Amino acid sequence: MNRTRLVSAALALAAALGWARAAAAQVCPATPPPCDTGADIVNPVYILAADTQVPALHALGKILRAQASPITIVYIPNGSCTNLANLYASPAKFTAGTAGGPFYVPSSAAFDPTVKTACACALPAGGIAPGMAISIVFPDNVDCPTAPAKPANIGVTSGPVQGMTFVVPYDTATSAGSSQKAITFEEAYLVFGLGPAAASVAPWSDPAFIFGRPASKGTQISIGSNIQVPAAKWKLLADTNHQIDQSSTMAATIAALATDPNAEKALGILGVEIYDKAANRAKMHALAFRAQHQEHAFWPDSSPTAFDKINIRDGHYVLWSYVQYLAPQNAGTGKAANPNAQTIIDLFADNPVTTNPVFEPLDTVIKSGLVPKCAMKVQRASEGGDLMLYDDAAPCGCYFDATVPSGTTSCTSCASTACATGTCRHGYCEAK
Amino acid sequence: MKTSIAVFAMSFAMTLTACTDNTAAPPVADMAMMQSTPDLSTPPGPPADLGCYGMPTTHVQIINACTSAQSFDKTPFYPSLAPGGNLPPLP
Repeated sequence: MNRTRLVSAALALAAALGWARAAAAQVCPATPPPCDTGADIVNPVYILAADTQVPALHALGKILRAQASPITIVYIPNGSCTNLANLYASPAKFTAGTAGGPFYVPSSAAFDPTVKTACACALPAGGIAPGMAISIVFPDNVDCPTAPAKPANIGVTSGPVQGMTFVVPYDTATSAGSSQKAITFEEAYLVFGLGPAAASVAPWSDPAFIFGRPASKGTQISIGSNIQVPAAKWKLLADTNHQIDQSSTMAATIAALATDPNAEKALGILGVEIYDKAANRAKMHALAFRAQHQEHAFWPDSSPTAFDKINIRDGHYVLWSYVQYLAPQNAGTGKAANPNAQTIIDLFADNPVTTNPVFEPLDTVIKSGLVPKCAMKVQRASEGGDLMLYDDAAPCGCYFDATVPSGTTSCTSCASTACATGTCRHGYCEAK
Repeated sequence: MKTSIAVFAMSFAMTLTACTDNTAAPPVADMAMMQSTPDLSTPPGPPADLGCYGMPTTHVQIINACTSAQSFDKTPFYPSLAPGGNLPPLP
């Protein structure tokens, strides 16, 4: 399959899987309203969003629109480093990137959070200041070397964990596609660091079928840190078909190769929460990864078909990073200048928030494919850095296990009875 | 060279558990040979299978801790650019 056909097939598949914007148009006005004064845009929070976090923003945004005091999430999807640069700029920028935007979550109960983008709105002539930004890598100039220095008024909140994965095409229905099951640190280093042709690591030696992201994208930065190939040094073909701007396009590209004769040669990268979508798992496989000095390769989950993220949570799978929330703060408060932005940050970071009606914020995080810190057993202090044990003050591992798709837990329910030992949290008896 | 490399065998073995010993910790002296800070000047391949760690504390112990999760064993494929598993510097 040549490059043109590949892209065409990817786009066709994307449309077939319901990713086209037309799906969102059903609840969106024909003419994009002003992002600041549109009738359906109430209490807006303007977010520079890492594109992998769009599903989570949609899910939370829909709930926030139904609150007694609604909040409207208005976002622009972009790379993590681009988001940092825009937030750190003076004045900060809220401008559309290659993926378009801004988009807002509408009030309609019919809004489908799984659409690729929400409703478009129009920036006013005078521009808008972003209320917060989301990065899926540590917001420093090691991971984003071209970002300006972080202004003193920008606060950073480390939130849930996002996994990343190498993916290969595989059609679950027909068993067609790549036979590959795992990739090692060394193989990934060679393929992406030296280039597929130079590395000659079978079967990933044809650069036409090796796919990455632009160097500003968090997925590539995070994986790059773990395989010791900085994002800017990945040897990919220098075109947008191989340095793919959007996660959804990457997924569609890999999926389109599932029944291609060259499927065995293909290798791409995705955020785990993108991979976890049913439509994607049906057309590709996540590869188990064996880190440097590790004995065995592991998937993010306890098995290729599970969703429990157990290996991310206990440290057997190292390809992960924290979702980082950044916001301008008023001096000395430690809180975002925009209180609604702080509410969104607190909801994602599992900090106490009073809502009406009451809802469980962890559900949004977990069902978006992220892992709240309270379900983690390990932590790290830098991108791709060594793992250390982590003991959350208010663990939620039982609730996490019970909430993921097909989830089960051996923990005791405390919905109606007190815990014999431990502490009742989110309906289950946690260790403390 | 590519042709000869392509015929190198990769051995795969699916295992249902990563460890055969859920309690015994490897000798401290052996694990001291593994660096917690990645260093490409050292052979990057995994150490000999020393079992798993029941009570991990360091990075290397954590990633090699005992688990019931499914794992996959793969012998790395080292092309001529990485003789013996020694990775070359990035260009």
